[in-house]
Amino acid sequence: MGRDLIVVQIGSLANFVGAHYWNFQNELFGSAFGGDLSPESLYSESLGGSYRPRALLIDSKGSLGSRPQYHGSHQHVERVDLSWGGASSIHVQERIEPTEFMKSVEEEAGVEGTNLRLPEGELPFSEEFLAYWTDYCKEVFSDRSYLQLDGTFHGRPPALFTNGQELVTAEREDDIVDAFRWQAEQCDNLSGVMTLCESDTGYTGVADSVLTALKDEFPGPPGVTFGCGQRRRSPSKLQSGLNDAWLAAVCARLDQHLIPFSATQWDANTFQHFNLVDVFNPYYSSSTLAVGVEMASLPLRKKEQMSLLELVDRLRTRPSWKVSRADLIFPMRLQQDSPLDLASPAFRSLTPSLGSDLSAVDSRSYQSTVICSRGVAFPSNEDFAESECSEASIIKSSVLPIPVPFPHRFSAAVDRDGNFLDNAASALRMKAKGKDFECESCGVLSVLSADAKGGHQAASNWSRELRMASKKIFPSSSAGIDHAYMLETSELLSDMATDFE
Amino acid sequence: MSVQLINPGAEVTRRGLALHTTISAAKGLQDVLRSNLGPKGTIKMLVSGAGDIKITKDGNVLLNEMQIQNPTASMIARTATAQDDVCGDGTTSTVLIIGELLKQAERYLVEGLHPRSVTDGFDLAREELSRWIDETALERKIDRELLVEIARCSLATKVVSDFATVLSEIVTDAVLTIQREGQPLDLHMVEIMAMEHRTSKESRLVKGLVLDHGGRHPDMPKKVTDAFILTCNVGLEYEKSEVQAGFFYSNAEQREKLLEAERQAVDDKVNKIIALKKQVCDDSGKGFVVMNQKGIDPNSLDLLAREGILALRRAKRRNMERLTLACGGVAVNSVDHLTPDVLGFAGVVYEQVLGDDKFTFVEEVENPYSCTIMLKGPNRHTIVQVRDAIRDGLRAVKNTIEDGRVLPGAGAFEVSAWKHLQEYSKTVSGKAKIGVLAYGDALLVIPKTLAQNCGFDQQDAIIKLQEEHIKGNVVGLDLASGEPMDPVATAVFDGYTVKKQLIGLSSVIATQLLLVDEILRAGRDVNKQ
Repeated sequence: MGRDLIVVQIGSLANFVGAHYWNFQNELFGSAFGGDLSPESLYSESLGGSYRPRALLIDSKGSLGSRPQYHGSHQHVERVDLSWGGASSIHVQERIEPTEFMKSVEEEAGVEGTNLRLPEGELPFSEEFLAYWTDYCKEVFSDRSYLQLDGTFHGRPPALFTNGQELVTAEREDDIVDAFRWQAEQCDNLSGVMTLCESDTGYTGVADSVLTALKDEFPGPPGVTFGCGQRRRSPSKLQSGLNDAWLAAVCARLDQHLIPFSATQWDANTFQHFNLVDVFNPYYSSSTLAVGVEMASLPLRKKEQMSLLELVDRLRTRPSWKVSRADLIFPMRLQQDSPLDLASPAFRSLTPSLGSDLSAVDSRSYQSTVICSRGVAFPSNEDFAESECSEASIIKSSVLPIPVPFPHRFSAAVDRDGNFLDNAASALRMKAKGKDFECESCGVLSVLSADAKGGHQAASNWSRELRMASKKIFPSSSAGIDHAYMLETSELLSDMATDFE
Repeated sequence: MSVQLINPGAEVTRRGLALHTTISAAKGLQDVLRSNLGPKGTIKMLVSGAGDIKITKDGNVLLNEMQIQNPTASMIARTATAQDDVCGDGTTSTVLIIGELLKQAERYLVEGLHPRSVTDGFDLAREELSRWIDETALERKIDRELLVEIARCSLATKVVSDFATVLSEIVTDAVLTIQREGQPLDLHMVEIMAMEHRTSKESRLVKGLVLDHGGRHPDMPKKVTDAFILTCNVGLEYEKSEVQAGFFYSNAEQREKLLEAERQAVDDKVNKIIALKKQVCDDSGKGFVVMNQKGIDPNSLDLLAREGILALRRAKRRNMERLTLACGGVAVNSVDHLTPDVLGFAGVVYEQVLGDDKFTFVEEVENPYSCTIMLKGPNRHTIVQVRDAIRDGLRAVKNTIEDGRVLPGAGAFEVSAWKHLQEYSKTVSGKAKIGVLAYGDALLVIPKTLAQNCGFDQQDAIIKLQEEHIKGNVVGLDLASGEPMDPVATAVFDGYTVKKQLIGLSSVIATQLLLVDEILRAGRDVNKQ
């Protein structure tokens, strides 16, 4: 069975999410929690014997922060062989210091399998000021995983998908395809590509170019794409809506299955069980999105469960339903008396563009529902024997280990074993900040499902966005994308909306 | 009225100020790149916040590294990128000339001349030069010797001179290898493969191919001599349907059967390859290599290894093309009806392991139409630096072959263009004359900067050159002495396309920038966090 996955992360937020995601994998790799998972699905063994994630990290220049692009290339400036006889000048940028946390990771890196734990009660860094995902990512990637795009700089993503498309020049596209091929060559049996893409900025245009090129070069494996959106302080609704729509169109065109994660509408109360300290800080929003990705990809990583093709087949009630919704209870009480109720108000939607309420999903689509649970005693198939859910796939695994560093938002709501406290709400109010890491693992429940009504609504919204934009922004013909192409794409999405009816 | 139509949040810069902003941005960019020009320019080492080192002298590379926010500067930078895309050279010159054109224009604008008059002159000068450049270009017989000189002129501005000499032969031979009568040159057929190993002086041209991966089975041969090469694009992987087709089964037994049938299908394909191998090799001691663009799973690798076949999976698509050009044969998409004439041939195929990387060399091929520049270097940044230089060198050689002519280098072209414009201006009437003269003066920035970068007095050098040109001698600047010299005798040439493109691009952009009288920063800055 094709098991091997390659993860492609496009855009700043996608890499923030990816960093949390790989921290989870890092924690699971070799730990008891991950016993029923196969790490080979995500990692390759190099000739030298080290395991490296099969990932492509596409981001803007300078996004690596304190991490050098080439590991182990810390050279002393004066020792550089200039291979130049003439004059030279040296321009040194202000040094970005690695966080204390990353320093401690590097120190421990020599010892195999050490569980990194910081002294009780001590935060690894001040979470409020994290600018780079490299400030907390424990995973070490291969040099060939990093791809930085010329013409864009960290913190200044391209505004619109057209800007993003311009960033991927023919030469860069070759580099990206080659880097992917290099990862694919290590796969004994490539199952497919899992893409994380920042969906509310022009990186959707980058995704367009990259995924199209990859599809062209590697026509086989299907893919799943996770959109990632974030609340921004100065949002431009028009632009982010357009970018979202473009990603949907790209996925529809390339037959990618889209799960449009977005934290754009979250506020401090969305995940009430714990503090969402700062909804604008990607460090926080990305951590919850990463839990979503971790859960959604669980079926692919279980030993003898599903290949990517099977998962996509399962999620699509009909072949044309190319968008799924995802809902999450996190953290989840490990023991529960009542049976699982998909209408439970505890579910939070990760895909608000398809509607926020899971209970509104048409029960007919349960046959294409995938329920993933970690550590939670239910659901068992018996729970559903009588109900319409009996068709759903249920994937279970042990509890989700919470890696260090994970935002310390769990605060007092959850005890060390991940059990959700009865007096969580009041406990939370009492100790709002400065709490140490008490929680090492916890239960999570996630539901991936097809949603006819939500899908229809989302697809028609996207289609409308593009139609409006084709009038407003690209009146006749503009550089790169012309009016007709926009209308055509809009049609594509409106066809999708019709299919959902 | 117009002000009310735009977004009230927009930031507007009006006429005089707009022009001033534009010109000062252009001058700023010019100042940054000025010291790069020529073989005596300053090389720049950039150390990033994370400690990454980048060494470059290439204007285009530098512009890519800079965080350019100013709209004018970013337009100029894009022009330089366009120059690089077409010619692979002359990026620094583009920026210098654009800056100088605006600077010259500014002299007259402050005296009250309308920008339109200046740009009219620029347009006339551009048209005249595009015509004149064809007259002045030197028709040369394009032989290897000349191409090496051209490559050396391009490379000497990017790497140290004795290394440039080595490299110039490598890039020239590379281009000559892939040249085929009656077909356009495709530089993609020259692969640049980097190896972090020893020193860059050990770089060499491999007439054949180097791939950055190897056999994925421990029992496969590490070296194959007299090898038949099968280039194919066939999935030798189990369960890899390209259309979505799930398995449909109702019990475990059926499932097992289906799986077995799938496996059998893959094995059949592998066996067909093995059958071909047996047919052609037949105990003759010849080897067999399979290069597959798609995947090969462990079971299939095992079958192939047992037959002593070296099999590489996931070859680059471009390498599939290169392989057939280098070794002969045809790339096949199916293993049905394989015949020996689809096979290519190479004298030797061997693997080399370097740290975490594995390389496969395909060498000793007859009639290669594809080759690889094996680039070695002690560290990553040297490799990157040399690779950029090689890319430019290859394009310089290619352009010369296609142009069939060259221009005298070392600033000789610019000075004679200046002289020509001086004469041409006499035939122009009206204010446009000013623009034509300004254009000529602007071109002199190239020899001036060359002189300055070598430590000579700009004015001294330029006056000597101008005097010689007025006497009718086409001379350039001798970078060693600062005196005029004959560029043709010393074999210092510039590319014809490079200069032609440069003149076109820089005049167009300078004209556009001069005519800007309002800069709007429409709407709010969406990227502000």
